[in-house]
Amino acid sequence: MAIVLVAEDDADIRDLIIFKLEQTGHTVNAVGDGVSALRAAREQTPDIVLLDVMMPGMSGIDVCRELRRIPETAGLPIILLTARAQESDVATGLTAGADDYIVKPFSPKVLADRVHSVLTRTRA
Amino acid sequence: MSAVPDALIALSAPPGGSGVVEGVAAGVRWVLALISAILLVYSVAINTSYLILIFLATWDAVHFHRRMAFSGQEDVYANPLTPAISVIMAAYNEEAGIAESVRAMLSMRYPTFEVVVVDDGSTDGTFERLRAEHDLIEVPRVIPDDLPMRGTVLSTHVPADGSPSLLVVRKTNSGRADANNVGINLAQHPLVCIVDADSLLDSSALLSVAKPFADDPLRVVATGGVVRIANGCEVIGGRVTKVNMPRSWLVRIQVVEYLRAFLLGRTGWSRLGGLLVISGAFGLFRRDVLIEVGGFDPDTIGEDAEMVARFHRHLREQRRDYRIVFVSEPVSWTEAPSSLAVLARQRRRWSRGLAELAWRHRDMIGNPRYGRIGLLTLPYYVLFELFAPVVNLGGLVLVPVALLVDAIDIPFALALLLASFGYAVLVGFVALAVEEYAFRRYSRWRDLGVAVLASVAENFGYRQFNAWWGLQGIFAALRRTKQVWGVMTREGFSTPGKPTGGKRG
Amino acid sequence: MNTTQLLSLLLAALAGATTMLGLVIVAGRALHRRRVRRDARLAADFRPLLLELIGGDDDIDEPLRRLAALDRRRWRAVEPSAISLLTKVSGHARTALVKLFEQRGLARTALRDLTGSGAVRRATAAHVLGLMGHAEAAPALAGLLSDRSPEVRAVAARALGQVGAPEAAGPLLASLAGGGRAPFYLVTQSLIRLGPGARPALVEALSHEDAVVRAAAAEVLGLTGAVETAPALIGMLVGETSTEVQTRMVRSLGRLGTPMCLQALIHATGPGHPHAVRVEAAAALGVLGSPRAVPALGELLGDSRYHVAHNAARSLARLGDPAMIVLAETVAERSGTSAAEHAWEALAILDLQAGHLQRPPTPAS
Repeated sequence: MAIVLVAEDDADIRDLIIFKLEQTGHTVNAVGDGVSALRAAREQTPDIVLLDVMMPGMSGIDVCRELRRIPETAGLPIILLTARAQESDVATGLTAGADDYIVKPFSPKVLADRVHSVLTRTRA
Repeated sequence: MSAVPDALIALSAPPGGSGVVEGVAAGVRWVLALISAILLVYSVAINTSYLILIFLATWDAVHFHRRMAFSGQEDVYANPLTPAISVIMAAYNEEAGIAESVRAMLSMRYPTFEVVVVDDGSTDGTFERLRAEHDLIEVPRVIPDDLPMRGTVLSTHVPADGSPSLLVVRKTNSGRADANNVGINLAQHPLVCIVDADSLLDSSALLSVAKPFADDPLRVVATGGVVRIANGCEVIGGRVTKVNMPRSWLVRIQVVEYLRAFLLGRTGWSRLGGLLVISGAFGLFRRDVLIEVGGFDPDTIGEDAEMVARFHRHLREQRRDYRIVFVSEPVSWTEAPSSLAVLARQRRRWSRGLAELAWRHRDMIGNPRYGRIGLLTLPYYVLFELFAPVVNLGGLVLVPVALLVDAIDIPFALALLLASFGYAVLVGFVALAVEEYAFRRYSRWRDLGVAVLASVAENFGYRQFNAWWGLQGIFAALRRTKQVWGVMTREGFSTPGKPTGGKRG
Repeated sequence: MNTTQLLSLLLAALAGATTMLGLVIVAGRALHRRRVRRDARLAADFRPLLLELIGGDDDIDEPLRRLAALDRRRWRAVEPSAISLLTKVSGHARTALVKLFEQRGLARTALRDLTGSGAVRRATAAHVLGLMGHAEAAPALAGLLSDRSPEVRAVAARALGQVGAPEAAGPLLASLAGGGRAPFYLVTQSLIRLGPGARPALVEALSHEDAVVRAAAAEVLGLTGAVETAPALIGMLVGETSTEVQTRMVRSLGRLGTPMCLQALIHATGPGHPHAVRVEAAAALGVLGSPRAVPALGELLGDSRYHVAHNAARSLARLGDPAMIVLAETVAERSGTSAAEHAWEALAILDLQAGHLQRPPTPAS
């Protein structure tokens, strides 16, 4: 299974994601803000990154953009967590280099499936 | 307190012995005593007015948390009726930071917006940086003339991928105010956001300032938000990621000054419906009203405050029902001057701007036709902002003299000291307490200690220097009004953050 | 009392007040930190249960039973997390949470709290009822639209949309009148959510005396594709006095896009209308997307007002080949005029979208 880096400032959601992904057998590193996510992505070499768009300081989109600019993290699979079906968020996110996005409110099961499918797709 | 009657008795006493000399001396003493009495009243009044404004702001601060809990920005973001925004970034020789600023701007969270960068005749690589980063190509564009322009537009550029969210305009140099006007002309959306190219913005800044427009779209015409000091903070990718207290005491004092200025000067005034100043570092305006009032005036120092004054004037004259709103969320971060020389220049500029504004709109002062702005805000600004340096420095010079010639007694001098310094420290503490309860901007105990010390320290030295610079600014304005109108030398284009007003004189 | 005494008294009072404030600041911060830690600790104890409930696939009976049986003190620590999670999860997870809330009688408590004395309590109750989509709460929530606290009014406006009772449309619209008792964006969002059942109330609101109400109704009708109301919109557009409302009506006509709308929009670009309305109508014709607007838009390219011509050109750029021909003709035949410049700009946009921009930045004349 994979090492997943989760960046989400809402502790409830963060715990829920950790719970669900660990249940499906992944190893999860969770951080609460964009800067920590950036640092963790470089230091811990995760297999996939899950970023909440709406974080104080650096937003998920900011982090995504920065990760793509740094050579060692440029190829990391990234999934964005956006609020509702916002076309603009999705568009900005995909422009910033995200591989996929999950819309809040989300079903924990769908989230786990999505992580799995992005991993399969990018490993292939 | 008892000094004035004493002086009066001295004056009315029949001149004996050295006659005239004695009479003059008594006269001087009497005048000094009167000035001291006025000083006392002034000090009590100014600090009390601060307290009142703080209490008004407190009401807003209390509601701030409830609002946050129940109606976050997500609703504004998800709403199809949230109006689109054109962000105007005027840039002059910003080669070093422009690429990152624009990148950070483009990844702001907002449903629909475009960024219009106006390259105001930069002589460095400002444009080249942008071209390289966004693969810009030149496109034809008919330039509207909704607002008069002094500079000439040379060319317009968009990203080659056809993305509609960025437009770069190159023009001949004509100053920030005119560059903003060009940007407003080219703006496509109903709301226009004016941003300093070197400001750091929170990613949700647009949502915060647009919310009042979403709340009340037919009446809100302009909004602004809290500007904070970025010195010492951690910045990554154009975002402030960690808030730290700066190391220099000069900047620390400014931090406390800004916190209080925005709390009382903006939030308090917004409650009263008499908000006069929206910082040029970050403000959101209705484009159609901007056009109606004629945009920024390139001949004014402090063009942002002057324009807000024109907003009030115009909308009052038309008897329109309008609102100018200040939001208590921090939205923009700016680098504060860390040297006395730069600080002096900034403060002279602020004071000169305020003096010019008051002169130009003098017919509004005290005029009931202009409602609260005419009857309350403008008189207040003239009395307690513009004249504060005069009174402060006057007091500093005259009170010792008055004490020396026995025009006032020691208890009276102490009372004056108490009213101007003791009361000011108290007001500073009240502001800190409100800040602490409402926002908790600095989380560490040490930072809180620093803030407390800084709000005491600012009264000794900093405040007097400020008054001196303020006085110089007023003189500069007076000299200029005598000169020929229209001839103007542009002062430093990238003066960091200009939240004029609301600060202590 | 002499001056010196009075002064020392004042000095003492000032020093006292300053010290007090200092203490208040410090104590406030210390208390806040303790409260945060305590809440976190209490919540942490039961969070695993909550996560099992939401994150579990099928076997949620055990955590549901245990959470439903929690005593009041412990539940109070869990509740904020549970409510906030309800806004953020969907599918099974949401169903499980709603089931838990029902078992704990949350809706009942919330209905009672709607008339409570504290604003925070009323707002929280309205928030919860909205999240649970509790239909019976609609009348009570509509009552809260005139609550004295602005936060409560805002939450009630949103909750009515979440509950989705069409009969709430009238009260929602009325809440906008008189200087905006409820936030415009929340009310319109809720009106959109109410669906077709709200349309009669929306049409009726088009003739409300308050401009904000008319503006909201016009926008919502357009955004929800209420094509059968187009005649009503067009009818009201004629007699409308507020330019702001007129522009919103015009925008909605573009979105509704029936042939009748097309005629009305072409008419609205005419010189007799306010500038803002003509500008909006020129743009709306592009949104509407019918090639039958091309001749009218072609005419507008030569309009003396920049924004009318500009929007006409932009709209033409959206209308396909017939429009392209008109744009190219304008460039060729009317060179040197502002019409040609606007057409040139629109052609450049089309080139850019097609991925090849070779045109020089000014039309050859």
